[in-house]
Formats: sequence, C-alpha cells, structure tokens
Amino acid sequence: MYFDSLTAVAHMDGHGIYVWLAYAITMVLLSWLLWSPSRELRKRKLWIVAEARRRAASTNATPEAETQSEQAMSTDRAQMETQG
Amino acid sequence: MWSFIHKLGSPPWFFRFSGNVVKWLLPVTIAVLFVGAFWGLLVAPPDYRQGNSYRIIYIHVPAAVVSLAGYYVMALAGAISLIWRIKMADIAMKAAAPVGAVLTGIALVTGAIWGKPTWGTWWVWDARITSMLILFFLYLGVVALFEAYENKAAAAKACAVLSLVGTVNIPIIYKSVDWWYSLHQPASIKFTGESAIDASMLYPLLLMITAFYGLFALVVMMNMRADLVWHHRQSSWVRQWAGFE
Repeated sequence: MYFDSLTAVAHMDGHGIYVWLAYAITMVLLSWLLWSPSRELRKRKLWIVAEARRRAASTNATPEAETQSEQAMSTDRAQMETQG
Repeated sequence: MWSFIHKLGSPPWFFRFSGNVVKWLLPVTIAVLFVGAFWGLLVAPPDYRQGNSYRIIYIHVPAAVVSLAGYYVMALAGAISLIWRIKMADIAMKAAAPVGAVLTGIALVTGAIWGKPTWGTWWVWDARITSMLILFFLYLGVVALFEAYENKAAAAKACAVLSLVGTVNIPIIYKSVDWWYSLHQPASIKFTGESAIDASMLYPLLLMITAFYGLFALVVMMNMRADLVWHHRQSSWVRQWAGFE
C-alpha cells in the first residue's frame, strides 16, 4: 500500500479530485453499459410472456374480443418500439 | 474451428452459448476490474514527474486500447455483413457501436481530466486527441445511422460502409504520436523491445486492459442477446426461453 492514511488516499497530494472524478465517471458509465442490456432483455422477456398469454386468451375468446386484444397488442408493440 | 464459426451464425446456438459465457465472464471481469483498480489507485507508486494524477492512466489507456480494437471488431462485422449478408454480423455490428462510443468517451473525458493537472489544460487540438474525437463521432454515426433507417437491411448496409471507411482513422490514431510531435506522449508499452514503464506500474495496467477487453466482449454479447430475442420473438426457441412451449 502506498498511502498511509485515508485522507492521503482522498487527497493524493492535490490530485485526488482529478483521479477520483475520472474513476467515478468511468464507474458510472461502465455500470450503465452492463445494466442497460440486462434491463432490455428482462423487459423483452416480460413482453413475450404477456403476448403469449394474450394470444392464448384470444384463441378461447369470441372474434370480437380477439380483434380487441390484437389492437391492444399492436399498441403495446408500438410503445415498445418507441421506447427502443 | 470452421464449425465453431459456422455455429456463430445460428441465433439459437449463439444465444445459448453467450448465455453460458456471460454467466462466468461477468464475475471474472468485475473481479479483475476491482483488483486492477485497487492496485493502480492505492498500491502502485506515484509517477516521479506527474505525481498521483498518472493513476488515471489505469482507466484511460485500457479504454483507449479497447475502443480501437473494438472498432476493428465492428468493421469486421460490417465486412462480413456486406460480403456474406449474415444477419448475425449486422447484430454484432449494432451491438459493438454503443460500447465503442462509451469507451472512446471514457478515454476522452479521463484524458481531459488528467490533462488539467499535468498539461495545465483540459483540451488541446493535438493529433492523437483529435483523431480520437473523430473515432468517437464515427461510433456515434453508426449508432445514429442504425436508428435513422426504417428498413433494417438498408441500415446495416449503410453502417457497414461507414464503419469500413472509418477504419482509415485507426492506424492514424496509433501512429499520430510518432508522426506529429505533440503534447501527447508516445506509447510506453511495446510488443517488441523494452517497455518504458516499471513492472510495479505495468501489472495493474495489464490487469485493467484485460478487464476492459472482458467488459467489451461481455456488453457486446449482452446487447446481441437482447437484440436476438426481439428479432426472433416469434421463434420457438425464444418462446421456450421465455418459459412457453
């Protein structure tokens, strides 16, 4: 260990602010890189499950209900696509 | 080897394979990243001229190195997409672009933060820095171009052409510090000949470079998985993965 106290670690002979700022920005960006595709995958899994349920429900329902659920599905899809 | 490359083109196989890789690569990469950062921040000695500000190189150099290598990966995927029209290559190209953009952004921002105490300025229009800024815009251009087209096949084609044309910039970035005598220092680590950096500073740097490579591979695979699921949401393997059929 090079530093002998926590204050020395924070201060780094006057360079602490630069070093810690650079590391903080990097950690935030790297966490975002890892977090965003896993969130996307989870979101899409939920959508696929919901769509399969809707489809299963509509095959048992009346034709009228089916068109309604299809409409709901297409608005869902449009929303998903605008959200990316 | 060939059968492995052949299998990479198969979405369900790649999805299963990448799922297994992500599971072990994620903890390993995060562990290496923390060990490297701890070593570089707290254990390594300060630079005799720059003092402690040099500790920023432990993120600056890995981010820059991987952003350049990542560009080759993206351009290679673009070439494969253009020549053999493999959909998987489009998806890989699209997955690599934002990761490369973020890494280039990190290299630029950390470089600026290091420049302030060391050079006395946040920014200079130096050859290395300017060519890195161009790399940043090339990555952003690919990301934006993918979004701009309604037709995804046309989008992939345009992006492939853009990323291939942009490869001209990569050797310029590498060589900029030798061709133009400027503020930015030349490379300290060399594959041939002696490195101009002491082992006590080199080991954490190598660890961080490894971690950043791992991170790039990891995020590209994760982006590809999210994209694949969406492209193949009607396929039975996706429905199976989601818990149906």
